Amino acid sequence: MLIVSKLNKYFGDYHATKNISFSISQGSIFGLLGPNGAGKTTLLRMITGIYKYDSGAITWNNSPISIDNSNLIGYLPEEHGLYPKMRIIDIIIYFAEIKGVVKSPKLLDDIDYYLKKFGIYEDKNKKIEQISKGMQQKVQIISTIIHNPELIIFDEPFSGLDPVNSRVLKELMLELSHSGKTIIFSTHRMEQVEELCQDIILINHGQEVLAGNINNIKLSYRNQTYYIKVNGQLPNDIPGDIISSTENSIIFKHNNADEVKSFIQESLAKYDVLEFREILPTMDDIFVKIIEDNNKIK
Amino acid sequence: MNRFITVFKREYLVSIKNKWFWIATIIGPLIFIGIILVPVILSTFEQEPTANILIIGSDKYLSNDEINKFITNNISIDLSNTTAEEAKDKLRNSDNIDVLADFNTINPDNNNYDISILSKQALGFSQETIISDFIIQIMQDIRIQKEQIPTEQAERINKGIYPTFSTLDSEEASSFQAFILAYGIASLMYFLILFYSSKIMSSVQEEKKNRIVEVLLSSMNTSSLLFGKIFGVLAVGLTQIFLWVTLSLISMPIIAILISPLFEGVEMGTDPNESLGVTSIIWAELQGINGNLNIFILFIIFLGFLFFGLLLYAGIFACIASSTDSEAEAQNLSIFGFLPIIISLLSLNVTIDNPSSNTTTVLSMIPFISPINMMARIPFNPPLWEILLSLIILIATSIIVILFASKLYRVGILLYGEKLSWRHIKNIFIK
Repeated sequence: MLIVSKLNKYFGDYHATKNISFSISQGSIFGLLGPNGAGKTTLLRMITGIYKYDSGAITWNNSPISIDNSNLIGYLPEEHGLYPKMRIIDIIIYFAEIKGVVKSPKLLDDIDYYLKKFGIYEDKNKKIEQISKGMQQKVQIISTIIHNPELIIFDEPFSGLDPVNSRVLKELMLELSHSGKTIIFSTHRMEQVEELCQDIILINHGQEVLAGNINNIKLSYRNQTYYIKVNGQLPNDIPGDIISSTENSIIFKHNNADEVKSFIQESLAKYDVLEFREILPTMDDIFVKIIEDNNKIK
Repeated sequence: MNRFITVFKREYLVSIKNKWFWIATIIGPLIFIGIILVPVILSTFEQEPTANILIIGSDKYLSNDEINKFITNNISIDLSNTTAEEAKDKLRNSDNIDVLADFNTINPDNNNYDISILSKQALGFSQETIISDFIIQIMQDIRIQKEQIPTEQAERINKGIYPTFSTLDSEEASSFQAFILAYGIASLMYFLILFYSSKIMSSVQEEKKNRIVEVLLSSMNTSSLLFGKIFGVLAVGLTQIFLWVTLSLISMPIIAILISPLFEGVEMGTDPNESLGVTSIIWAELQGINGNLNIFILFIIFLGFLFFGLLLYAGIFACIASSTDSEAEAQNLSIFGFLPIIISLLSLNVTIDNPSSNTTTVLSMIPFISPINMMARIPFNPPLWEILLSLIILIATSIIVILFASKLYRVGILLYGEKLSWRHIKNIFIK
C-alpha cells in the first residue's frame, strides 16, 4: 500500500503542495486529477524521489520511498523522450538495467512479449528516430514496466496512441492491476478515469479538493435527473421538470425520490418501458464544477 | 554504483559505435599531421627570393672579381661608377634593379662600415635577409683587407659559428624541436578539451530537451547520472587517444617514408640521413624532455592534465547545458566556458616564447589554463615540482567544480520555461 501523508513542498516562497494525503491499496488503479499547473507533476516527482519534500511522508508497505528503492517504481512522465540514435531493443534494455535488471534471456523474452503485445516486435531493431510518435509512446510504456515494478505511475499514457493501441493499453493496465500492481493514473480524460479507476484525488492550486471512491463521489454529486425510454406513446404524467425529450425518450429532474419511484411503477404498467435510469453526473461534470467553484473561492 | 556503470556504458558504447567516432579517429591524426606539414610543404613550392643589386663605390676597396665570388643563385649585381644621383635615377627607372648599395658612404679609415640600402619599394623579409647576408660578406672582406689579416687567418675567422643550446638537465635541446612539440601537445589538448566538453554539453542538453532526464532521475541520483555521463565521455576521449597513439606508431614511419622527399635539404637540426623526418624529431625531443622523467611518466602527466582538465570543463559545460532551455541560450552562455580555453590558446605564444618567466609560471598554475599551458611548457623542461603543483591545483579545482556542478545540474535539469537564477544558486548553498 502506498501512503502519502501531509506532504508539503515549497519552491522558494511558493507553496507548491499543501498537506496532500491519500492512500492507494495494492492492486488498484488510482486517478490523480487536476487542471494544468495544479501540482500533479510535482506530486509525482516527490513520489518518484526526483524532488525531496519539505515535510510529510511517503511510504510503500510502511517503508519510506527513496531513490535507493526506486526499482519498485515504474514512471512514465507526461512529457518524455528517448534517445533518437538508439535501437528500440537497446533502449528498453537500457531502462531495465537502470532499474537494476541484469540483461538475461528472461529479460529479452519479457521484452519480446510486450513488443508483440503492442505490435512492434518486427521493428525492434529500428532506431527511435525512424519510428512514429505513437510507436515511441509504446516503447516508453514498455520501458516503464519492463522491470516488473510494484508501483506504476502513468502520466497521460494514452497521448499519441490510436484507438486500437489505447484499447491494448487499457487491457494492459487492467491486467497489471489484477496481477497486484498498483497504478497511479494521471490524466485529463475523465471517461478513462471512470473506466479504469476505483479511487481518485483531485488537486487544485497544490491542495486536495476532492478524494475518494469514484462511485461514492458520483453518488454524492447526483442531481436527481432521470432518463426514461419507451416504445410507443411517451408518458404524459412526468413528475418534476422536463429537461429534454425526443420522440421516444425524456430526461427529467425531480427532487422527490418517492414520487419518482411511484411514477416508474405506474409507467411500467401503463407504457412499454424500454429503459429507465438515474443519470449520475460524469466525472467530467464534477471536475469542471469543482474546479470552477474552487477557482472562484481563490 | 550499478546505475553509474549503466550510464557510463551507454555513453561509451553509443559514441564508440557511432561511425563519426571512427571517422574522427582515422582522419583526426591526418588533419593533425596536415597542420604541421602543410606549411612545410607549401614552403617547398614557394619561390626562392632573389635580388638584383646596383653597387656603386665598391671599386675603391675591392675588385669586381673579389665581389663576384660572393654572388649566389639568388643574387645578381650591377657594378657601376656613376654618381649617387645617377644611380638613384637608374634604380627608379629600371625594372631589373631592386636595390642600390652605395659604398661611398662607408669610411674604413674611421672604422665606419654603415651602409644604407635604397629600394623602390619595401622589401620582403626573405629578400632583405639575402641582400643583408651578401653585403655583410663584402664588408667583412673590405675589413679583412683594411686590417691586413692573412688569408688563412681570415678563413678561420669566417668559418660559420653555430651555437648548440642545451640545459643543465639534458645534453642537447633544440628550441625548434621543443617549439614544435609544445605547439603539438597544446593544440592536441585544446582540441580534445574543446571537442569533448562540447560533447558533454550536447549530451546533457539532449536529455533535458527530450526529457529523458525525468525518467533517469526517478531511477538514480543526479551524481550517478552526471558522473556516469562525464566519465563515459572521458573514456571515449581516452580510447580515441589510445587509438591515435597506436595508429600513429604504426602509420607514422610509413607516412614519414612517403613524405621524406619533401624534407630533403630541410635543415631541422637532426641527422640529415635520418629517414623518419618529423617522427624522429618528435621522438628525439620526447626523449630529450626532462632528464628526470621517462616517456611513460610524461604520458601519465599528459593523461592527468587531460583527464582533470576535461573533468573541469565537463562540469562547467554540464552546468551551462542544464541551466538553459534552448540550444541558442546554451550557445550564448557557452562563451563563459570557452573563454578560459581561448585565453589559454592566446597565452600560448607567451608561454612558448618564454617558458620559464614568472608570467608563464603563474599562468600554468591557473587550473582553467594549466591543461594547455603547462603541457606547452613541458618540452622546455620546467621543474618537476611546478608540474606537480599545477596538477594538484587542477585536480582540487576540478573536484570542487564537479561537486558544485552536480548540485546545480540537479536543480537546472528539471527547470523548464524558467532560467536558472541566483535564487536557485543561493538555495543550493543554503540547503
